[in-house]
Amino acid sequence: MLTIKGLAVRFALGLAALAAIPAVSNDAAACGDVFIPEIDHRIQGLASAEKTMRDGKIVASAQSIVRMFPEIRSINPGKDGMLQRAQRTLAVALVRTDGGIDLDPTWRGKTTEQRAKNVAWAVAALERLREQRKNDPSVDTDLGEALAKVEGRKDEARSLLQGLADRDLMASPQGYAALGRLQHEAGNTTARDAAVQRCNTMAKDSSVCQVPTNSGGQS
Amino acid sequence: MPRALVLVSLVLLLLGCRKDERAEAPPAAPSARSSSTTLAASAPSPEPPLGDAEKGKTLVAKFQCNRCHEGTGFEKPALDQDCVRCHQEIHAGTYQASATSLAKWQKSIVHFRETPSLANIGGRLRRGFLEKFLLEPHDVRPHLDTTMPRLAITPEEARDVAAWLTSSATPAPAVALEGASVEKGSALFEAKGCRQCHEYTGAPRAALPAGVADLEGKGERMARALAPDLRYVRERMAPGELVRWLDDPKAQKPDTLMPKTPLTPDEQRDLSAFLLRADLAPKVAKIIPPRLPVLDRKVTYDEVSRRVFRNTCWHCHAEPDYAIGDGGPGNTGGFGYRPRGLNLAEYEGIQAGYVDDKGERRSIFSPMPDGTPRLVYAMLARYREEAGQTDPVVRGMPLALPPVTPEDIQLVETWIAQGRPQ
Repeated sequence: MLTIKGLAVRFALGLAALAAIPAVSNDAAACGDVFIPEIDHRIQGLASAEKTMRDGKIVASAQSIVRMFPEIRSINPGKDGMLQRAQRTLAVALVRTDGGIDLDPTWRGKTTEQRAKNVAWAVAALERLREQRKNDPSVDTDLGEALAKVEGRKDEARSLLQGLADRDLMASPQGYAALGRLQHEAGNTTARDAAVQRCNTMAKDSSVCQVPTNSGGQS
Repeated sequence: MPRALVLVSLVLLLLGCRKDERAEAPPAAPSARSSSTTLAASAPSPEPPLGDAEKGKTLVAKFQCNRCHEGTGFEKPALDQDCVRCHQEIHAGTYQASATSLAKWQKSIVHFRETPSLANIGGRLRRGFLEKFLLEPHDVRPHLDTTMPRLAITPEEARDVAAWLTSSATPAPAVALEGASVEKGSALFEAKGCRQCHEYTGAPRAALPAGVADLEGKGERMARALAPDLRYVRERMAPGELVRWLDDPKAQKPDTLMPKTPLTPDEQRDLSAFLLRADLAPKVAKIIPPRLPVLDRKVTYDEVSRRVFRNTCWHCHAEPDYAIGDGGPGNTGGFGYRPRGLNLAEYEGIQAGYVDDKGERRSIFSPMPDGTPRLVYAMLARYREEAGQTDPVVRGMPLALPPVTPEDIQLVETWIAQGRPQ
């Protein structure tokens, strides 16, 4: 249910969107390459943030999300697809940095407590998203990657991620990497090696696939 | 931005945003023989039993025929749901967008600029043809690069839709073609310059009369695009409807681009005899190009996305918010297709698969019985569809559009074989 604060946030975002209309992009594209609408510049910005994330520039991606959606921390996106994507991108960035991003003066990622709090926020955001997007392996992959960072929920993460791998529905190499680490911790080296191999074939940067080995090194 | 831009598939929409440059098999030598006595070969089959027109009306709404066609009995949809009108407005420069955007889109939007109107279709076409065409659509307009998509329609539903589309038509008076001359009709076909717009495959190639410009490669894009291949007239039209059409096309379909051609009643019958009875060379199936081997170079997602996924597939398979509308028939459903939840606009979405008929998520890379990844299989199936080999399991993709080139299929297959690298 929407709170009064939530309604106020949506109203503010709506005003921001209206204010953006006169400053529409003159370089919209409808066919042939990226679809970039003319009205809400945040759509384009969000697509750019997602690409930045895929390129491995995690902090830059997260910071651009917060700049475009300053109230993103307290928003419940509900069924709003754009807000869902924004919050998801930010959540994944926080997970991949173990919560270690300074997003604004009130949202830090320096101390152990701050970092843990950030990861917990990310997990909560992804769980909320999963409620809205049931049966979506890309959300499940992100959530599994996030849960793998939470003590006490690693079994859940391993089960979720291995299920995706078994059906060839893992959406990201980072998901395979998380699965590899979880299987290593569980002592299942066969499953670990299979996950690492898939990660390495998918990843643009194989450093995301580093998983401990039995010899104490990294795969 | 309107969703219609996104949809170019559909029936819509898929777009390769490029011209179809596929090679076609050279036509067999047409028969030089014409005969006014070859009635048996051209006699149309009797009309099938009549379906339920009221059910058909409901089905026309379900299949959203009005998103591509006028004359369905339903109002035009909103612009962001009207694929063709949106594209037409962009090309006309009347779409509300910046001049820069319009100029850019005008260069890239190729498909879904013209679709035939269904106005009074029952006054022109045979109900049995419509029913069959709905079940097994094929290319009847050689200058139009989009085709009717294979709908998720049952034989009973096709019968009902055909009943609805023809329900308000007034039958034409019966016409007997005995005594009509195929040879005179052939001469009229040539003299009246019909070939300016129409192909008549299988018939001897008609020359254009002196002083009549060959429009090939020039203007009059829409007229040529919508002009049917006349070899199908004998399936589509009865003699009475054909003669009535030739007499005054706009009286049957006010928005037609077919001009009223001065013809005497005898000439109308002769021309009808030529169109309905001339001996035709066998239809030549389109060639299915050989499947190319996987490449031995590295293929990344960026390349395959630029050349295939974001050039074509995403128009019907994208997330709704990404498309500022619905996600296209291949994602959120539409045109009678159930939602598949397939997002081909983003790497993660592609890996996340689609929703099958049982509601289960499945990988689009899962092997088909012959070992081919399902995604590649669907693209190859489009070639087979165009060659008349409909696949009962997988609908050819891109839906209703020219197949992806063999080189681009090769690129996708290579990317898959390499483990789908980012």
